[in-house]
Amino acid sequence: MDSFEANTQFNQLLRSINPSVQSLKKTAHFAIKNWENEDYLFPSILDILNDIHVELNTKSTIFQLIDVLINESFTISAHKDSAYSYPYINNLKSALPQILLKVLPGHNNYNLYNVFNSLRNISKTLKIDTSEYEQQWNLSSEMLSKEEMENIDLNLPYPEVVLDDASSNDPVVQAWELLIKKRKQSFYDRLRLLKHQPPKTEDLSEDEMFYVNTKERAHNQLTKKQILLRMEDDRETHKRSKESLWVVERPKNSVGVTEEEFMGFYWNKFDKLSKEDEKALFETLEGYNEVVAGSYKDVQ
Amino acid sequence: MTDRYRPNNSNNGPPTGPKKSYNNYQGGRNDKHQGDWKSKDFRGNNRNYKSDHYRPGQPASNQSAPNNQSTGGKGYNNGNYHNNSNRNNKGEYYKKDSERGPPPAGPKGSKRPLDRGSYEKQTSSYVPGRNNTYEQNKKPRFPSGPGQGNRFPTGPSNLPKGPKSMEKSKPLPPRHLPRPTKLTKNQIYMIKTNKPEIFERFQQVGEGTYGKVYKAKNSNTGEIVALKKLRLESEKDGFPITSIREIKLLQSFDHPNVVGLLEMMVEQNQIYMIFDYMDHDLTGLLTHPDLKLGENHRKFLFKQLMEGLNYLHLKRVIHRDIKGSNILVDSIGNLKIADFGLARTMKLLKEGEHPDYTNRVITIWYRPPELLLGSTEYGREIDIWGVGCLLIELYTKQATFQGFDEVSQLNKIFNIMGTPNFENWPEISNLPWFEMLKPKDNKVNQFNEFKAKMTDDSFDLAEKLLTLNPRKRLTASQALQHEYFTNEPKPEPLYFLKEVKGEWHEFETKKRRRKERKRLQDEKKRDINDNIAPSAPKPESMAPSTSKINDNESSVSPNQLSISRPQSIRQTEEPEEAQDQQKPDGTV
Repeated sequence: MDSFEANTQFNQLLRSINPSVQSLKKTAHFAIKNWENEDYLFPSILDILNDIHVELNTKSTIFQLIDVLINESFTISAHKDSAYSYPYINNLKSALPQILLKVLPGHNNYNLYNVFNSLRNISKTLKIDTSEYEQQWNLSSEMLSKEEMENIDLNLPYPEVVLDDASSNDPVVQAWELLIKKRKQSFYDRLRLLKHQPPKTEDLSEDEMFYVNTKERAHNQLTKKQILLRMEDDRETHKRSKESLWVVERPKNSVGVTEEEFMGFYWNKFDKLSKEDEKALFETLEGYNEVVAGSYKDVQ
Repeated sequence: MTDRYRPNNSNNGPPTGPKKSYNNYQGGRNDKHQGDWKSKDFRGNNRNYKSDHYRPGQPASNQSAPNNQSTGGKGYNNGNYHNNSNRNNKGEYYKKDSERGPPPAGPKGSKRPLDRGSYEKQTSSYVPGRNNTYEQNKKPRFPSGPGQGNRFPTGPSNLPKGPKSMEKSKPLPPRHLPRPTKLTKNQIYMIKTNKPEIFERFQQVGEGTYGKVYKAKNSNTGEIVALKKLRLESEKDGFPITSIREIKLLQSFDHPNVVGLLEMMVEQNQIYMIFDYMDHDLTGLLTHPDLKLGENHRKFLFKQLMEGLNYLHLKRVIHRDIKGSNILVDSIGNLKIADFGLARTMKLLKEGEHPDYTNRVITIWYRPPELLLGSTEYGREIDIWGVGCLLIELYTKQATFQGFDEVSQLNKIFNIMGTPNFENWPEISNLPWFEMLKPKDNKVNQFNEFKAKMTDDSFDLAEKLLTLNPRKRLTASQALQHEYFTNEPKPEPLYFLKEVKGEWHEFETKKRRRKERKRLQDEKKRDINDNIAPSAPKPESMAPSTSKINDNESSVSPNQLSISRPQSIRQTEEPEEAQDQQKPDGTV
């Protein structure tokens, strides 16, 4: 496949992407398969994020794709017989802070939660410890400084979150810093609204309450339909993410009694254990441990 | 054929495990007993199977076998399936019986009754222990003491013996003595009959995505029951995993305010769950135009609801579909919580672990704000919101928050309960969809408007049950301590319900509404026609719009006509939630 053809097909995949695992993996695998055209395919990802006509839901899905692409590229390349050499990882990693701001534009932080989840996965794949940032994420009440609290009192808007070009930090760490700022921004905006917006007594319409339903939406805002679609997509993704939880590769010589039966047998018993029985129990347990240890895809 | 029952073991052949103890155990499973059982039950034809199953001395319609299990699967889970080493004084007898019996269906074998043809015109039903009391249930589940146990390597001599009733039976006589020819009543837990229909159906009383519910009479005992027919036509993957979960849960319940599963029945390739019949459901009853509930009656109903829910919550069960049509009421106001199709037991979690359940639960009108905001880490509180809604409904007779979708539902809730603020619900910003549905304006709490429609106590209780922050919501046991239940007037049964004509379920109410709507539409059409041709004589059948509908189809107020209740949710459940089952991809 020549670079033009690959790029066209990849663009089609990106435009029709949905947050199902199949769709994400299909797109990621296409990119990895055409790794020789990375110089053409990678900018396509950035293009779609820069496109102001692309809705925020799709941009959130693209961020999930980046998570999947990094993970797949890493896993496939790490295989001992692999012919791949970690395609896309470097490019994506360096562009991560700028990508993040495209998915969370201005004060529209609809994608905050999904970006947090994906960024956590990416950091895990790239083996970067971000527990400090994850902690900050959860401490919303303590995250604002004294100065910022004063600004809320003064009803000042939160400054725009922008990329710090001078930062010498690792791009993933930079992305985390931006994400925490975004979280702060969202929290700040809410506290400001609670403090300065006089409470209404008359019933609020959906549009007044959540800013939905208006047909003439400024770009980067979600309509009600898009919100409902996103909810359904998230539920589907959540469900599918669990489908592989139980999958293990049992060695061929695995024992025939299930763990449940084994546990049930002992659970139902109350008896003095002779030394012989005890030995048998531990031998059997050891056998199980071997089977279970051998079941995992990565060696324990 | 064993694949169905023992998929883990099916291709492994004889045991290959290196451990002596394991070999012993495994050996026991492949002995002659299992071979016989297999050939008779899976490979033998149906006629053999049936005749094998017949016990001398039993009435033709009441053949039974003690070591068999129907859909319940209790025996299977307790290891009864492997109980092939009963070679002690009781052993011989049981062995024979189990050889004769059909396969222990249970979850893994539950496809069995669906084999087309082989079960034609047969009816079999499973009767779970009905004599258990709540108190008995509180006892340890496996009471085997010293001496009763057995040794793993030498083969189980005292493995669980199937139904509890069997454990209590006296030692059986030696083989040379005549065997007992008839089982006592409480020993019968599977009945097969060639009668075409045991339950005579009267009418349909409910419908949902799960299937249909009928009112029926047991032709042997005269007992009136509810038959819940499971919808299996659309099942590609066999018996739905959600039904297995529902049956397992129902079997574990024993409380006056929770519906009891009387039997499971297989008839004409259909599977039925059989419950006590209840005349009304709460939604249906509250739509009765002449129903006047006193404060004592409301307390009587609501106390039972809270007690039933408290029982479930103590058993770590979350109902996940609390709504009026799932609350059944009999002719004096005894109440039972029903429909456990979405219920689940709570996970046991270590510190730092999260439950991670699906948020696609609870019919939208009764769904709490945290679920509408995408929470997957919830607990019993989600049921409490629903009963809070129902408490208000007992007074206002209509659902409090009637949204069409998640967005409008949350809007209705915030408009009445006020938008949450940092003080009353700080954790709200951690919910997945909060950024999407963050209130852009502040609304004050308007719940006080309900004060005029309720009493002081009930208002206070409702407000505490409908707390936006799930952590601050009352628990079921705390709610039961509320003054509402102890202050005058005291709860009192609804004896007057006996006088109420007809049975009031949501299903019938909906039917009435449809009929009434159609009638109004027809009338409108006729009016238009009359206007076009004013000289035409009015047809006699045209009734005035205020005319009373005959018998129990009493007139429905226009207000009620406008309400279209949302449907329950049935969905593919997360596979890990039922990882002990065979099919992780079961659907409803």
